[in-house]
Amino acid sequence: MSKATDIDNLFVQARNSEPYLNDQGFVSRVTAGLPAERKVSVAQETVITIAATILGGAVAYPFFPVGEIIALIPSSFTITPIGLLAASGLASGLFYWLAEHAAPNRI
Amino acid sequence: MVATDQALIERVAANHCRDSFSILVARHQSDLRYSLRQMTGWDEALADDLAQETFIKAFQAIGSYKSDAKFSSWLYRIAYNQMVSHFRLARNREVTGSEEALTSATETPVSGELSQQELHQDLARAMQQLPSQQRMVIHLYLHRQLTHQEICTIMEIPLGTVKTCITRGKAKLRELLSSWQNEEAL
Repeated sequence: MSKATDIDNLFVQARNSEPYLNDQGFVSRVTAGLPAERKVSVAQETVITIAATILGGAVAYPFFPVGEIIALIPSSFTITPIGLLAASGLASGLFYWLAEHAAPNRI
Repeated sequence: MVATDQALIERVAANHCRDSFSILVARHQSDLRYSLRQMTGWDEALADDLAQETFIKAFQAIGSYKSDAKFSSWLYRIAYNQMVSHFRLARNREVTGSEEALTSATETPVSGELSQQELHQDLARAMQQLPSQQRMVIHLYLHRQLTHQEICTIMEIPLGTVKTCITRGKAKLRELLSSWQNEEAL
């Protein structure tokens, strides 16, 4: 290629002769791999979820033993060195797992 | 009237309209598949798989698309991340598809009078010898003619890195293509 190794010219040639790649079923394959179409929009789904949660909470509230559950919460607690060590170990393991599994999912 | 990319994207974001997304895929598939062939040493099957995954990811994340960037730039960003993930996973395998393409690249020197098809394939195989980041920068800059700033945004790397990748990538490609020419002359 003598001076045809000039990279800029090579890319100009490639750009000017870039082929149009025919579909050949590509669009159909992509469409088949898409998640199911939503019957309601994201906004509608959010409103319905919040409304259902509030309604459910309102219905359940009179039957819910709030006072008894609050009474079960200890006013103070102690943690032993072994317990602290175990909690730290669990937390470290959780952070490590999250760090290892979070990276490949980025867009 | 032909719907703009932006109008189609809004329809997809609002209710995941597949028909609108199909139009977007049909519009951008050729460019993206070609770019991915250039990125994978002209491994057509791998490039098409990565393009398919890219479009599916784009569909799932369409809500995060910001209209201040071109849709094609956003697709390149997803495609680049897909490619990096793929090569990271394949790194420990003995021979990946791209390595096979690389092997054949060394066996197929660039000829003096290239047919168009050979030009694209040989260029892709030469590009395959560059690190993936350098390869993508070179392709976006020299082939897609994006600006340094657009490349920074797509690849989320500093401006200095983009410039370095271009300088080193061009030098390496020049060296590769010259050595192939010399081999052919012998």
